[in-house]
Amino acid sequence: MKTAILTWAEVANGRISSNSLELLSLARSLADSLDGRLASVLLGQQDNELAATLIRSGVDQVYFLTEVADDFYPDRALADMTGAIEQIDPHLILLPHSDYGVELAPRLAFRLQSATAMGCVEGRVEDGRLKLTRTCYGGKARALVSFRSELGVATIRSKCFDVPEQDSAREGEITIMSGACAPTAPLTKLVSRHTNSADGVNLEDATVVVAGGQGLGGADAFELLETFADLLGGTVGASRPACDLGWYPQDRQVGISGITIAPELYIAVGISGADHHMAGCGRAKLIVAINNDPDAAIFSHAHVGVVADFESVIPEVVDLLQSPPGQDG
Amino acid sequence: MHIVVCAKYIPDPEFSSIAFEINPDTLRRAEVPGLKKVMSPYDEQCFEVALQVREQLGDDIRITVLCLGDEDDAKIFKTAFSLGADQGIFLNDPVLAGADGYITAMALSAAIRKLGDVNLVLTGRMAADYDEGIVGYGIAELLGWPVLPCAGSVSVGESSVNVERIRANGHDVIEAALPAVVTVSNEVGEPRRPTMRQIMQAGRMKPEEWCVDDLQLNENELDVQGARLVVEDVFVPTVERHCDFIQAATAADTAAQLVELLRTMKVGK
Repeated sequence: MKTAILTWAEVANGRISSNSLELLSLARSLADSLDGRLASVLLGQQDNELAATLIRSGVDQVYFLTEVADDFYPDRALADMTGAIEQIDPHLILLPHSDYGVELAPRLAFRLQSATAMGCVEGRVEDGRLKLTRTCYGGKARALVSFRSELGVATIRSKCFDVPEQDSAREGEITIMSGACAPTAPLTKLVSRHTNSADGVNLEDATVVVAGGQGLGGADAFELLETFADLLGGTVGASRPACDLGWYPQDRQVGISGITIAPELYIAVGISGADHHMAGCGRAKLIVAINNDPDAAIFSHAHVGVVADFESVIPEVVDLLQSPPGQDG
Repeated sequence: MHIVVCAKYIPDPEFSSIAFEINPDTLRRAEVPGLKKVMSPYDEQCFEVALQVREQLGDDIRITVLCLGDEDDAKIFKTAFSLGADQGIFLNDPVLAGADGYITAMALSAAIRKLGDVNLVLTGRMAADYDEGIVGYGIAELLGWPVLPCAGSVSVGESSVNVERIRANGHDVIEAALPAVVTVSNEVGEPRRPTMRQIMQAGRMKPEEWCVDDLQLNENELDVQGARLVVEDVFVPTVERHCDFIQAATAADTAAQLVELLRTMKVGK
């Protein structure tokens, strides 16, 4: 059976990234609709545990490109990946919409003379043709796209699909592949890599996120949000304007140009609810908005709204949460 | 040294989102009163980088702005000249009207090849209309040049470029030999405001117009039929959500109701 869909399983800290696992839910259903196989490519040394995770998640065939250096940088993998894709010959390549995924996707597409659909949130097969929905205009609109080229390349945004259920009875093949016939020297040199220390709860995986926006009026108010989030076992994020003003670190930015999250509970404080922000948190299970402007756009996205000054409500909430249940009055 | 800035003219992304509609015929943002076109913000920031390079390396730096568009987009050059471009190339050909990211990169890279002596190409990390982020990578791939994406800071030497590449939870320091393509992120800083004199001078400058024939490209590959990505529909998603408001007489009562809700969700310590 022909391989219909090929995914790139991105590995970070020895684990397959959650975005790479989530997109397998879409990839599996597209492969079934096209009556084809689902394959994934892993870069670096053969690690059967990683391959097993992919197979349990719905992958039929795992390819290892072992010639790619373990210290991954896109330039070091492009030639091998291009060669492997030509041999596997899928209809569609899906990559996570991550820092490196958004580089690999268009570069592979140009090398393979095919089209790229960036930042997709949905996909389906209609009359045998692949159709993908992607966000555009800063999250204000969606575009339904298809490919005129034989091969399509797409990136899938995180938190759009659930991680597939692990089925330990599933079986799949593992193949070690050599990629390019003529390896080419990378054009870009990775001089050094700096990763921010992850203190506290990771924003992307947090079940509760309290986020602040321009309505907070300054950096100081974020301390209050940190206390609040801490009491809920969560962490703090911020809108793009708040980050641009330097009130909170850029790497805590929730939105289309920051991090996409889908926590159980999202509490937006002093956030207007611009589309580019909602594109990064709209899939939260419960959205609570606190804003003193009753006309703020956030209230058309929120499940629960509080029209009030945050300074009058949140300190009270913090006090109540600090006192044990049943004794709060 | 010759720097090319690729810039796109788009409907102002900061314009009221309440007035956002898609024109069903063009599948682009509908024109509404007051909505103007502007240079895509990341592209504007490329000029800040170009001027920083001029500061690092001296005045012998030529800045060319390159734009693909239709008649309506000619106004982008006034902005580009006032921000520091010394010359402009306007790729204006009806054949390119339906260009996707692939064709846009083909046309821009052909223009860069025709210019001949280009050392550094700057593009925004993505345009603020289609949010694709394809073209900078495409230009690099088609020219066989290195690409240094998502630059938060750029430093250029006589023969190499060094970039701080912004990532979600940190950054990479990367380096390549010139010629190279750098895609610029907002961390480089706002473009410096032009002086009145620069604005006046910019008004008198005109770009050179090039068509597909000038680029030695095959016309058959460039029209709508050659586009690899088909845009079937563009629409505004509807959010059907009912917001329950907590309305209480005092802040203390509001807080109590909110805490009750949080406790029913069993969140917290």
